[in-house]
Amino acid sequence: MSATRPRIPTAVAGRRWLLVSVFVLAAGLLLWRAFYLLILNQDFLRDHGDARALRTVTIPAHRGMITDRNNQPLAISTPVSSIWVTPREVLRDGDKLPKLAALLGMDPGDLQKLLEERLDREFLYLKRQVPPHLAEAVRKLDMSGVNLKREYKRYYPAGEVTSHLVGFTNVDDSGQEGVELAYNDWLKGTPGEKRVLKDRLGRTVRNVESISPPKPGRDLHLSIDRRVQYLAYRELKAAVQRNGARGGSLVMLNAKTGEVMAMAVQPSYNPNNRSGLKSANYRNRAVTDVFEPGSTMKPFTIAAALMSGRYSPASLVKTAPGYVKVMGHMIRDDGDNGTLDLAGIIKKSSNVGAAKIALSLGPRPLWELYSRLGFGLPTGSGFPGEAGGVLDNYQDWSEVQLATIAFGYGISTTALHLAQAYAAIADDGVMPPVSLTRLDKQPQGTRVMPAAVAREVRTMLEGVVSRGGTGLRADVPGYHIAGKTGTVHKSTPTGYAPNRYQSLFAGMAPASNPALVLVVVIDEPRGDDYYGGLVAAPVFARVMRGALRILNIPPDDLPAFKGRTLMAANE
Amino acid sequence: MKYLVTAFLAAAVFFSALQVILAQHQARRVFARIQTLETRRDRLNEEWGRLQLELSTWATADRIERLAETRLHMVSPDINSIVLLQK
Repeated sequence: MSATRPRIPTAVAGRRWLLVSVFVLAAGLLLWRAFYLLILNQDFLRDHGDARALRTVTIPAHRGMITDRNNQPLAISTPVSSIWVTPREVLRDGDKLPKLAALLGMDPGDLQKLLEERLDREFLYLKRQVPPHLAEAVRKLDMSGVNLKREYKRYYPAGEVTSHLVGFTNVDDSGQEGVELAYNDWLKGTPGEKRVLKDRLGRTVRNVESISPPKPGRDLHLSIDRRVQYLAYRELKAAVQRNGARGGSLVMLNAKTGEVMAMAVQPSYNPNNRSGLKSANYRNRAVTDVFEPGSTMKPFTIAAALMSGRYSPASLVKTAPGYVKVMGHMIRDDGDNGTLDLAGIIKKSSNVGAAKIALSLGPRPLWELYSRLGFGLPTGSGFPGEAGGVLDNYQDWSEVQLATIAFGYGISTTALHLAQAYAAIADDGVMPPVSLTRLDKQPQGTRVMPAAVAREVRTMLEGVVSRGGTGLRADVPGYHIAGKTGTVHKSTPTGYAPNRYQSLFAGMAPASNPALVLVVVIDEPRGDDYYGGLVAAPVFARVMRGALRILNIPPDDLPAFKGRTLMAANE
Repeated sequence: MKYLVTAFLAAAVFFSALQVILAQHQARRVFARIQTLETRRDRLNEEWGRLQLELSTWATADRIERLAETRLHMVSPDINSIVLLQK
């Protein structure tokens, strides 16, 4: 090429150098800045990036399962999703809003309003604990600002059958009633934490690391047997309906260990769907409601008489003419029973007999036995809201009080406690502590009366469930049954109601070596029958019969088989 | 000698850098696997819960008793038709 480079004028050259040096300077500045950010102060940008994208999220922990004594589930947690939104984001994606509203069963206008009212909130639950298929449908909508959060929902497979004992949790998986509340710390897990990377819309892009894994709660094995519980619940419910009663409760204890084998309450509720329910129905009447035990206390009066040494089973008490006046107060029997021995007083349920014995003993021996049986105090089962009942100090007892306490008025207790006291008669005078959970070894009971006294009282209680006794309807073929009926006038603020009753039956089987203790309370039966022997005793018989069969407890009434017995081959 | 040490150190640095990459990669893979397994566990838990509910509806003592009586015509024996085996 022969073309010569055009000569650049000096002024222009100077300008070019100026421009080049500006560029070089700018580039140098940029390089320095890059060097500074990338090498010298490299944490700055990373921290800011992390602060915008990295989030620590909690991982909910699995709540422990509640099972019966045979590991059948009574309460289980299953994962569900809750839908939460950032209102501002959702409104930006407004055209899908009607679809979301339709899925959630809400009115689109209402949803719009709800979101607009909470525009400045970052987090709003739209619906909690939705079923999996609904959560999937919401996810498929793919709306910005709509998120799913994993939670656990509690299901109760046995429903209303175990609801009063097991209780329930609230939406935050924390126990509210019953065993769920009492053992909340044992059942609940510790939530874990993990760090995740999220995009602008709050969706998880990547899991970065796990900070602490969630610690699941522990399983809890209750002492009840689900099969017996079903049976007890069904029979109690049927009896309450048949008698038009206000309610009822039933407690079955293992006579040796004090474990609660069944605990049923009417009216009940379904813990899986609690909407529109009266909270009064949540009450576990068997544990929280006190009542006057009436005639079911007589065995203890007789036991106190035997323990004093001043009475023997053969001692005779004159109950004729069927009433006695104490300090101007009339105590009556249902008829004139003449002169009775101690077994006769129990069998005929004579108020006069029991009152006369108590008056001859004085208050102290009676009070001592009652307080040793723990009356007036909670059993210590640990059930939330357990009532203690009332037992006044004997020094304050008037003569009338002494006479009436002998047949169970002026003292109050719960069904659970009454069952525990009967377990003392069942287990030869040793009262076991009550346990709601399955025990691995025999607990230490307390001796409340000599074994001989307990056996004698038990024999007398067998008389109740025999021809001429008040509790014949409690009979279970093939087994000796010992028990006591009770028909109690309900006390009201204005005195005892003339025609409102509690019908009771407390008893045990097999009487020769009791394995089970059962207490049945029917509250205000409104049919023609209200006697404990007619209302509560049949429930006792049906539940006890089924329980003995289910739990494989051999019959002890061999004569009932009229020789139809075979010797099993020796093992 | 000096070069040898330097070369050895350089190789060691290079080697450990490779190991870091490898470990990172493994950690990610294991973490991803945990995530899949946890999802699977949740799904199975969910199904197990549903099956438990189903089981409790189908296998209530009540229903079994009713079916035994109506469909299989079974009766619970009364005392006169029971023979007791004694040890």
